[in-house]
Amino acid sequence: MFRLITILFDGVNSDFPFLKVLKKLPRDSLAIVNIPSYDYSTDWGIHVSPSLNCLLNYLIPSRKRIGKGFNIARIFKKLNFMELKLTDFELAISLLMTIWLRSELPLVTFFQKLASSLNIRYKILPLLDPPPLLVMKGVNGTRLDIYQVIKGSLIDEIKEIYYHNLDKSKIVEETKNILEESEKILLFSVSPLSIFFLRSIGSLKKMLEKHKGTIIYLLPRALKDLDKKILSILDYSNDLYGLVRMSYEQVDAVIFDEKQQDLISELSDLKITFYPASYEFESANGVNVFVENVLKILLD
Amino acid sequence: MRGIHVIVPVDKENMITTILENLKVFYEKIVGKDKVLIIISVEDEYVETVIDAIKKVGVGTLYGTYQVYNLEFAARTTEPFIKRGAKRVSREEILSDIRDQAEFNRTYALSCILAAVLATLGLLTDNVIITIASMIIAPLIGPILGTSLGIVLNIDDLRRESIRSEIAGLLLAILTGFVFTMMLPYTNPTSEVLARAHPTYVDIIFAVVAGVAAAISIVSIAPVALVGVAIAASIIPPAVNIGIGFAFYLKGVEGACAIIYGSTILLVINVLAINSMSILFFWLVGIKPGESIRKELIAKRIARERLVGLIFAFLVVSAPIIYATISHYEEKRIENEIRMSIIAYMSKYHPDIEIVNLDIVYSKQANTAYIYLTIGVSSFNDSIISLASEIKQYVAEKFHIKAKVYLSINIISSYVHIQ
Repeated sequence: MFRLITILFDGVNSDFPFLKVLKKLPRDSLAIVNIPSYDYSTDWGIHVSPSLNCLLNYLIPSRKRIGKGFNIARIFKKLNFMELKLTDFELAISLLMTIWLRSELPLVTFFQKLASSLNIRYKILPLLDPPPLLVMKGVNGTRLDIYQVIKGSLIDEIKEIYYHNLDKSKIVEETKNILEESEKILLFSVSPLSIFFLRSIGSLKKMLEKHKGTIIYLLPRALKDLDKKILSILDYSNDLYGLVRMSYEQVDAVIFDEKQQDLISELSDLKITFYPASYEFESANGVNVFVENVLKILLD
Repeated sequence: MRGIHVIVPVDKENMITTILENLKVFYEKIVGKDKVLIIISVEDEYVETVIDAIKKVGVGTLYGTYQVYNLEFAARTTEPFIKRGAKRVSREEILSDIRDQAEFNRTYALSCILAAVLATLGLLTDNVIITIASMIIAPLIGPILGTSLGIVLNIDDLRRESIRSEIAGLLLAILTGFVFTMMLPYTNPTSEVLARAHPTYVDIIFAVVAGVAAAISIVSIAPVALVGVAIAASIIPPAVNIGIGFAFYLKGVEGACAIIYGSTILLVINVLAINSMSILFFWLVGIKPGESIRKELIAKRIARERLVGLIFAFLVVSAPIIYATISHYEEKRIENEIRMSIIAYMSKYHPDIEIVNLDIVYSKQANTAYIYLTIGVSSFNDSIISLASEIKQYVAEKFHIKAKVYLSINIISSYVHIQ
């Protein structure tokens, strides 16, 4: 029986065997949607999408992987343009995306062309067009450098988080259709920022709340400093409990590390399903058990 | 009382027992090499909570399994430290029962055909016993409750399969009624056939009650016998009657179109009433999806929308019957008022005339009262001859309606005094 599965992916801070899970799923009934929750614009107006870069790094076949060096970034730095530790490939993608967005061409076409030219055999889709831009402000209202924040600096200074151009962003029609038709939607280890992002877009929040299929959230193994800071700013406890409470109205089930079984008793007041899974990725067997667990849940 | 067996891998034992301990549910366990069997015995109203709690951590989906069974007696149980649920069987048990019954298969199709054959014979020969026999074997309760349960729990495949079975069952009943009537030599619409061709408010009340009764039977812990008969009584005879109507039409029987029209209206009303009532009942007894609050809210919204739609359709289709019922009561009220007025009038102006019988038929559509008055007089005079016109004028003026008086005069003999 044909059952569409959609994976929502932000890629940032993810240390899961993403590709191993993908390989076990029927490719024809699978779509991967990029959540642009970390997208930002540099001072020079270059649109950087860390989640797209991460996704492409996962999906491009190894023989097609090019531009792993930092030559262009070095040139940029020497020209005093900006300091970005992006690989040549990532910078090229960012520049292409910037040009594409300025031309106001449909982003879904950009993704299609990218996938076909890079031999990506999975269906990858943008969530919003145009993607909004992440803005973080510090103590005195100064805009913080997102690149530095993602890299782990300036986190204590964050006081305010919002998205620029959120009102102009629309859910891509094809993505919307696929999400609506999906029997299962998997939030693949998305960060608290992405959950905040999904909740910030009224139409998307409503669509997820009304979605008739099952929405499963694969919880991260642990929270990074930035994740904790975001949860604190949003008035949730800065741990996995807070993250589950934050996402609980949008999801039906969470997959969690079976070692953290206290999650179940701590969150027993929430009407949500908890799937314990092995998060042992150190050995090949551990990875296989994890993949098997995720597949059982997705294909149930 | 129910017993629950939970079989899980040994490494998940701790998680399950912690959950049961949090619920203050008493359990026993048998630990094997790889798996552990946890045995729970609880009162019926706690089953759903216990199952939800163990399913919530992946039992039955990700690992392990569970079984629920009837338990005659257990020496030791505990009252769990959880909210007492409704006194009904658990959602899983209801679903398990209904899924099997709602499935369209050869047995279901054959039962529908056999029930329709008996119903056709019962209706054509005016034989109530055969008609009732047809209701006993009709399997329609499964698909009807499956549709309602699929809506309340928002389970698309159950809803779709049940609707498919329901429609197929009804079409088979109509077709069987048609084929058998064509084969048999009957061409007279019997009172049983005509009763289904002219639905009344009684049929609506019957269907509403049947819907609730069917829903009660499926959620009830105590077995409720033969509720399916009530459902079948509302569904099979009208469906078969449609087929009979078509056959009568081809045979050139007068009034065949009225049989088809009336039976179709009755069938649609009954299906809508039974489904609406069972949805409402399932909702009221708290049957809802167990996996998440999100699914519960979606199911609630969808069930509300569909219930409103069904009730609206029910009201639209049954509007002629409801209107006819209201009109009927209105007519009866006016008839009674006319009767009382005539009696008062006669005792005031013609005290010497005895009223032997007084029947009044008022037609709201024609705004006319037909008055059938039988009087007894001991002597015949002119005032009696003009009595019909007098009453006609009195009623017409008082009630602002047209009146037609049929006067019968009986001559009463004088008393004979026996010395």
